Amino acid sequence: MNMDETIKELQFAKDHGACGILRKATWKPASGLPILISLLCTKKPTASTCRSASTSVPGTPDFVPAREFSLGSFMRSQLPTVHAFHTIIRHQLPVKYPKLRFGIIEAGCSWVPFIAWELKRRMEKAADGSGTFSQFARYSLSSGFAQGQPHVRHLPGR
Amino acid sequence: MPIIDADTHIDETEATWEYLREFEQEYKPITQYPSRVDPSKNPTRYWLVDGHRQMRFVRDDNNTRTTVETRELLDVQKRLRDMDAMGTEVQVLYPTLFLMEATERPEVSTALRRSYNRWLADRCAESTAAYVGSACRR
Repeated sequence: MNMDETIKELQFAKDHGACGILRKATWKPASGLPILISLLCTKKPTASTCRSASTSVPGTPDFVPAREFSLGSFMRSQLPTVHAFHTIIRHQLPVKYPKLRFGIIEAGCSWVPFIAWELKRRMEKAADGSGTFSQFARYSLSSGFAQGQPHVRHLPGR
Repeated sequence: MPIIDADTHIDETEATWEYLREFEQEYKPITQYPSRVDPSKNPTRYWLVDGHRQMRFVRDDNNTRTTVETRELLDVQKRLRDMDAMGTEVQVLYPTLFLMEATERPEVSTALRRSYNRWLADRCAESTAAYVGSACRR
């Protein structure tokens, strides 16, 4: 699908109530991602301020061919999540698209303390001055959420 | 305070692929079952997509507290009643099959996602307020 057809398809989805794009990562760079995000950000809210973006942002390679290991590639590693979060912050997507909210879903929360520490260190050293810890905190608190999932045996009734 | 379920899924069904265009019919996924069934294990079935098997889950109604009518959007009003019972105002719907890459051929992937988007749009049209779909793009 080329970008013109992609935009048409997204326009169709947008016109019929879609609020986000579920996008699987590929090795190829997604040059059109800003266009896609812009399209979403211009959407009039349907029922809430909820915005959803896939955790599979560009630059997050899928190392395991899911076709051969049907449940493996998506379920077993949280490293793509860390990479996705880095990508969102380092490209300042929350600044460019302040109405867009980012959900890191089905990936637990255990990586959050690590990434907070690691991003703080990284951004304090950033030569371009793009980040300080307070800026990172503002990004995180205003634009993102991580959804934790209890282990199935901890659910009521299990 | 309205509750938004930002991560809920549907299960694709045969109707999901009814929106394939004429020249895309050869890409239509079909359901297959294992040739040898082990009665000691849970039942299994597959989507055959582009010559490859992808899991088509057989879910337990009691365990999931859902029914095939609600999971596959065969009965949207019933799903809405379930949402009301849970106090959920909005659900953001995600697919199941497309969580795993079903094919490496772009033309197949594009056709299936296009059909999925239209199927979901039609199902969501039955409820003007409670559904927010999730468009698929390869």
